Amino acid sequence: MTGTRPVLAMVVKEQLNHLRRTITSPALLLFYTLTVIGVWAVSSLVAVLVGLGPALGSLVSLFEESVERDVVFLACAGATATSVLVGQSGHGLTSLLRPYDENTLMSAPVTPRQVFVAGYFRRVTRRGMLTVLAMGILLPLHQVSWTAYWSAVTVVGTVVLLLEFNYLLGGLAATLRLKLERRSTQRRWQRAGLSGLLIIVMLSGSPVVTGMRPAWALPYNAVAAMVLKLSGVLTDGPTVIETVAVVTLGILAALSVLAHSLDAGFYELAVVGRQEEQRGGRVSRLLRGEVDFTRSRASDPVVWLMAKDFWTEMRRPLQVWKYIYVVVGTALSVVLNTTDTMALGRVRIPHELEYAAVPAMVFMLVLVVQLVSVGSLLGFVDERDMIYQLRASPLRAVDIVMAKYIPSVVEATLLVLPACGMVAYIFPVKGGLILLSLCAPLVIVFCAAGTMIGASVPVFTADPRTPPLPLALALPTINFVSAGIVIGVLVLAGGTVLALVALPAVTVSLTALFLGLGVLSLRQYR
Amino acid sequence: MPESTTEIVTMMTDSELLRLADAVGVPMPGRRVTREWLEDAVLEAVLEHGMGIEETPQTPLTDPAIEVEGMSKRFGSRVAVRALDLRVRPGEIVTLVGPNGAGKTTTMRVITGIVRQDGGRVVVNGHDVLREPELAKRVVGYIPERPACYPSLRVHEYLTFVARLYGTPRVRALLRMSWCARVFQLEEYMDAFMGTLSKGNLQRVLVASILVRDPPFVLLLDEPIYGLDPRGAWAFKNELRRLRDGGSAVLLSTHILEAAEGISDRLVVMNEGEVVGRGTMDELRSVHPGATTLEEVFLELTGGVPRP
Repeated sequence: MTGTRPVLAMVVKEQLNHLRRTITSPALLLFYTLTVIGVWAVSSLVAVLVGLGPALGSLVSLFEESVERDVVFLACAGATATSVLVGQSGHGLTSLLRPYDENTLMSAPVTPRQVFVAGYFRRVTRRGMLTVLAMGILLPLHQVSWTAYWSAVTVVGTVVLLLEFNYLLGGLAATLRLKLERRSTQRRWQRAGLSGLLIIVMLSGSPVVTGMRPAWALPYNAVAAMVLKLSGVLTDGPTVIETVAVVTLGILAALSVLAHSLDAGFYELAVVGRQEEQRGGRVSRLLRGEVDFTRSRASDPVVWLMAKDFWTEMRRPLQVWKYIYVVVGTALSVVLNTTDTMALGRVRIPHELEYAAVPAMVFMLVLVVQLVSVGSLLGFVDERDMIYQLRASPLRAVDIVMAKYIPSVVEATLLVLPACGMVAYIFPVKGGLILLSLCAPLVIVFCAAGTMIGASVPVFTADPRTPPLPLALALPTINFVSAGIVIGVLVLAGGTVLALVALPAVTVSLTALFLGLGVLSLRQYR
Repeated sequence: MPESTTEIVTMMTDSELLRLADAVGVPMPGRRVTREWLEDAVLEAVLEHGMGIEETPQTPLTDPAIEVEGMSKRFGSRVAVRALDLRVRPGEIVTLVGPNGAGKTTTMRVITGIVRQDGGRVVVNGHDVLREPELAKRVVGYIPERPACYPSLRVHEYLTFVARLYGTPRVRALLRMSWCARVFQLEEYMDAFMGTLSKGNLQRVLVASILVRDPPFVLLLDEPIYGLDPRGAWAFKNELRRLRDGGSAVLLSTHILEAAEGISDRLVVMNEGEVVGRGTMDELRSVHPGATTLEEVFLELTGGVPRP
């Protein structure tokens, strides 16, 4: 049998070639430069918020006062349980395999374990690079204080490690489900296996169990205990090194068990995909996206394109939770902001820090809108190779761009609602409602930028499924610069009637510019 | 390989020759050497190490090379393949023909061990694909319906990787790579990234990736001719016949009935997961006397000839 070494050597070679290609290609080099400038801009923006120093320092005490110990433990266990629930579909696990593994590795005399290890190595390398970038972006925080910087880096690092552990646990749930499916056709046994795993995770994060120190040997509890110690809630929590060691051991254990439990079912999941059984009531079919959208009465092909995208998205696992989150999250934030009877109570910003609350809130809003508008990038990317067919259709380039842009704005608007409510709750500043209205232009502009980047992918690569890393990283850069322009205009024209004209004008101009560039990109496909 | 080691070495490009010289450890006397000197030195070293093309160890395939007994596969409630029996002997080219969704690709994937069958038994070169997948796969050469490859690997890197994966000695792999590059007109693409290749060139590289290994092979080729230009298709069909004559077993799946008719020793017609006809072209014609071509036999077996 072939050893793992040549397979890993190929992955390393591939990654190095990828990097070399990116650096030596003029178009991608331009985007790398943009990214470096962008990271510098983001770093500078954070540096400007040095005034937040006392606020950041006091956030710890704010956290200490307002957050319950048990809630943090349960939240970490809940995140792990969610990963188990999401991972059992197998989509996360099979994302390690690429279509071209079918004719090279899957049919070669190597074991599924070796193929998995190679794919996981590729994933870890990429995740590692992104983590280093994230830590680089956080670097200006050291101007506030080294303690704040190291705390942020520690939290980012351990959360990334915990996410990897969760990912592997999700993979284990998928293999468990596969094995149960093979042994029993009865769904109740399959559900019982999964539910058992979920119950174990949630129980181990419960207050009764986390009250005992040995329970902190579980990665999610260790991270929760470390965060609580950093924030001063716990005095005897694990140190950073201990936490990293626990999570790393958890990763290694999960990796080892998962790698050894994989068989050809792993390949089958990737190649054939899961055939969802066609059963269930009207509502459950609707929630699974099993709707025949071709029955639509709309005659406009652009509407058809939007309907196709929406229902295709809904057919992905657990999509419906996104909309449940919007409803529940919005309702919760309305309740939090309108009543004082909640157990958590309202967050009160100390008088001496009020000056820093407004920039902090604006910064949070920009970050939130940035996060929810990432989907706009995927509108084009999700078309994969079909994008060429779409481009060859009688639809005008502008119609295609609008068909991708409009749904992304609607989705981002829905997703930003609960998040805005939470930001308003955390930063109860005077004029907060006006600041929240800033989300509208930001959503409009950020989604336009995302659509532009998505439309540009096939201009830079022959593989429209995978946006080059610099291109994807250009999005936050462009967004932060755009936010700077929008906020700058608002500050300059603040308090005057001019703001009523200037803000829409700059929003429309930026949106038109980005969408126009998107249309131009669509006309230049290779 | 139709050519000898000597012929391949003399037709190698300078860069290929230098790579081979490095692989066999030819010491360079100076910064400049003549082509003739290098060819002689490389040839001598290759033959001395017993790595010539002619010295490839010959381990014949078991008979039958592919044995499928009562194989079934379901996806949810849909039956993809139902109780399939199939045998392919060494030195034989068998072609699966059938309409879309007939179960050809699933059959291929089960035989390669990528998809597990629900029932029945699949044996490749004497090894059960469920129990001894790695041993069964040692001889398998598979090209899927939609060929794809690592976009960030160069062609020569990919071919070297595949040779290494199957334990082919580097020197012999380099000799075969050079030969494949010439036969399939890949010389100018050997340093190109796979992601930049056209569909036809990618198909040729995948074919070459099988041929760099030591024969014999159990070839499972899903629509292999699709995407090749006439010269490439001709070279490929010739190579298939040569491999068959050398003891390899070939299972093809194609929609191109003319190609299937011209190259196959036997045909298996599938429809809706079941075998609806099998035999040589003459045997199939004798069962359907009204049909003169494979196209007509195919239409008869898969729902009848459409009336205009």
